[in-house]
Amino acid sequence: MCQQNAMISLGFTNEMTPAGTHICQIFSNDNERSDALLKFLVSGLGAGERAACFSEKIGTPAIRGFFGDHGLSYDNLNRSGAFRLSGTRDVYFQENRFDPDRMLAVLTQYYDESIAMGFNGARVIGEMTPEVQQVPGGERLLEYESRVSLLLKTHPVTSVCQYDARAFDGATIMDILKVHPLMVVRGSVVHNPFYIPPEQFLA
Amino acid sequence: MTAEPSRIPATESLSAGTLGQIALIQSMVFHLPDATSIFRFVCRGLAAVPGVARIGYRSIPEDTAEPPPKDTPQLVRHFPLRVKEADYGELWVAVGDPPRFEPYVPYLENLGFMLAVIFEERRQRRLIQDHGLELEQRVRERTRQLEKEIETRARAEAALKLSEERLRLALEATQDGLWDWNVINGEVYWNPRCYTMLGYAPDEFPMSLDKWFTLVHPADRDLVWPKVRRKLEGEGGSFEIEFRYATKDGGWRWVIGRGRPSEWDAQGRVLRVVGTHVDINDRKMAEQAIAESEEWLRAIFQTNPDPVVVYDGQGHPKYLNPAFTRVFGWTHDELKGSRIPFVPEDQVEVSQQKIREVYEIGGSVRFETRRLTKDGRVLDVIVSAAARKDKDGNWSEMVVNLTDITERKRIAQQLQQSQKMEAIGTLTGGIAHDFNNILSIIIGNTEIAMDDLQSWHPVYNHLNEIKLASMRAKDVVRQLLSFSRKSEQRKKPLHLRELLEESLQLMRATIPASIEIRSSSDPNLKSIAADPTQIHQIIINLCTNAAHAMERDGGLLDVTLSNQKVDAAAAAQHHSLAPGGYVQLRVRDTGCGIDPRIKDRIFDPYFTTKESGKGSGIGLSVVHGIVRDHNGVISVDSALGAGTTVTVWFPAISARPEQAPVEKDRRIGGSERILFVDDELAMTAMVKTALARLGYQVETATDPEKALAQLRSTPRPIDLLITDMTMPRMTGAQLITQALALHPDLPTILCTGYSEKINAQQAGALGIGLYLEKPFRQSDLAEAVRKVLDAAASQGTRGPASASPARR
Repeated sequence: MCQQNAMISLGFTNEMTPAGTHICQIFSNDNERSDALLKFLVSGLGAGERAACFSEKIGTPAIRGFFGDHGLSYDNLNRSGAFRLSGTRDVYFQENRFDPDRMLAVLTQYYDESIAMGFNGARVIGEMTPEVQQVPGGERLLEYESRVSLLLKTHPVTSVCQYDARAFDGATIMDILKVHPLMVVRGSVVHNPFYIPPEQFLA
Repeated sequence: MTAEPSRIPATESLSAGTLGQIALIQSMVFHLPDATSIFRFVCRGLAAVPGVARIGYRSIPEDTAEPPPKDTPQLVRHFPLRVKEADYGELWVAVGDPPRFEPYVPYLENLGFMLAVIFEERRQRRLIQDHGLELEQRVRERTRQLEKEIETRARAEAALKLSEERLRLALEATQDGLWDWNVINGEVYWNPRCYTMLGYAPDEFPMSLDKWFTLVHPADRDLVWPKVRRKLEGEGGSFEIEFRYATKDGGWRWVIGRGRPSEWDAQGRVLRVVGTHVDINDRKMAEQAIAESEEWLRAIFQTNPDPVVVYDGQGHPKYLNPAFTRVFGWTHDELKGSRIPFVPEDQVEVSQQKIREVYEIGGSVRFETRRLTKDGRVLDVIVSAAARKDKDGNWSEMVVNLTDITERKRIAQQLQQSQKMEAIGTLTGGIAHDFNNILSIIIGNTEIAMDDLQSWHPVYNHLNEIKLASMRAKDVVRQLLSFSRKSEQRKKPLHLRELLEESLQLMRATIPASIEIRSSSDPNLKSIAADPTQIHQIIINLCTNAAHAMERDGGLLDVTLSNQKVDAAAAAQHHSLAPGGYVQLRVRDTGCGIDPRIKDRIFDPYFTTKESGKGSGIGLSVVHGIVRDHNGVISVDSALGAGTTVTVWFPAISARPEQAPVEKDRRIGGSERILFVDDELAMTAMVKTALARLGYQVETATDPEKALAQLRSTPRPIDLLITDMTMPRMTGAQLITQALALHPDLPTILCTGYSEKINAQQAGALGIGLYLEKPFRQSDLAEAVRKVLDAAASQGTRGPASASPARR
């Protein structure tokens, strides 16, 4: 977390949060998922940021409608490169494997492009699927999440990682919490008491 | 919890981070879906609590556990998950460093409790959900059942409604009444139609069995009740009875009452009977009308004066009425199973054609034909035939009415004959006057011319031929007038024998020698009242016709006179004769006979089969007219090649004939002054010459008014006025009347060719001296003039003569 990062709105909470924050959202119903996702995207796009969404659970119509309700043109945003919607598998599991290094490179490139394109910042919201526990490289998920926290210090892409508590075992959920410095609890962004800094976690 | 309190070392201070973790665990477990996930989440989270060596759980409801190792050296603390009676297992902690762990025990206990609450809440929620689901399931199930029941009930209600509606419509459509009888209490329900069927208002009176009895026709009660009672006594099935009900207007109405028991008690006794009333009054009335109609038809058939035959499909007589047997002679038994042999051969084709028309065109045919009687007589009949089809549309019967018109036809023919002759007579009378005037001029001038010549003069004979021809023409006119009753008859008692002899004597000179003439007469022949001239015409005409019929091959002309007594039976045979005594004149020849096809026309005026110059065609017409005028009857029997017999009956009388007067035929002249008036200039010239040659002073006039003026001009202008009857503006009778008014003793003679306006008798009544018929010969004129003048002279006056001039 970088002190000099600008304070931004995450959209689904009233608190202002520093840009480049790595947040975990554990949810157990679909409304929580979509509500946080859409508000996060709209608030970022509305603030002149570049935004991306990696999810298998939300489709273009829902996003287009929500954008329209808030005065945003899905098509324009898409054409301009300000917004990108991709499936989790397409992004995380290319070649049917999970490669944390490639993903970190993607995030790095994404942030650099965004800044180069003149956006005020960049944000990403992605929902990891349980499939990650079966694909090669999936065992490096916590490593990846922890390295993301490191990356964001230099490439402050505000990132929200969504985990469906109905799809992951409780122990896994607890492990995931440990690699996210902030988390969303009952609609509020709080500091995660279980968080283990990457320097410590990766050591 | 299994840890011993004594083993617990002194506690250390609490870590805020640890408490935050415990708090976060509490916050996060809500997201986890099941107990195992929660326990694993919690255990993974609590592992970070200071002093914890190992941690595990036992989940009761899910029966999963991560139990502590049995031989663990660490203190194991148990944190039960209980709330009230509910036990959801426990968390266990193998405490590696009790002093560090101990401060967190209450928080873990609280966590355990909270987890128990969460589990209990979830259990309760699941129970509620399950209960709700079960309730919903039950509601859905019950709803389906109810919907099914409602649907079933709705269908049943709809079916019932439909059934009731159909029953109502059926009853309305059939206009049937419905009744329901409670046998136990005698109550009877009638629906409105039961009342209105009889003219009552619906529910006009309460219905009961007793009331029902009063409504049933007394004559029908003994029929109705036993049938109903049998059903009550267990006969079973339904009943159907036709009977009458009293209507409100005091009449009776036929119904069919149908009913059947519908409820029984345990012993099988009938409790209830239901049924219907069907109004069959119209049908009954129609049946009665048909029965009456059949009765009437039977009566008409039996009493019909015309023969009627009903044929079956094979053309055999099925029924004959009495008139058929009376007219044709056959009984039904004689004709059973065979065709009636009464169609003459020449009528078979036309009859068959007409019968075919009945079948082909339908309806009926009516045609005139002839039929034979059993005894061989031929009857003229009008056949009216109509055919009837059976229920399959095939012709089954034919009704034939045969009206015997033989007598009617004969009378009609006679009437037609009379009417024709009447018409001809009217025409004849109209021209007779002109003919006689012309003949008078011809005859008068011929005689004047003959007077101027010696008999040896070549012209004399020619003039004589003219005179004779003119006299024959005069006879023709007279015949015409006689035939049409236009001539004045002079009937008197007459013996036909003398007249016959005279006539035959005349005939012999003109009948060819190849024809033998025979005559015979009853020596006691009775007299008849007749005009001798006309009887003479009859004999001459009949004999002439007979002679013409035998002219080619010769033959026998047989004329007989006899007395005939016609009794009632004979009169019936000859319908124009009345019973009584007759003198019969029969003229029979053996000539060619009369063709039956023209037999009906032989009395027609101007009908003749003779070649030109042989006859006028009015001979038999004249004979017919004369016979009729004498109240006689004429008949003709003839067959081709077998001769003809004409028979004439004259009513006999008892009076004897008068002695015939001696005719005078001399022309006596005079010197008296005579005024002759006639609108024909030729006539006045001829008469003036004739009278002048007899010495008379003759003046003539063609205008009666000028003649009257002349009579007015002088007190005594003339001694005799002779005038024609028919003149323009003034008749001869009017002229004489006015002349006598001027000169009452003036002798007068009225001449007439023919006039219906006056006859000799009427002329005498008018004071006319003498009535002279045209055409007249000079001798007739001279005698008439002299007679009137002499009569006036002998009386010292010039009054009218008392007698008609003699006729030649």
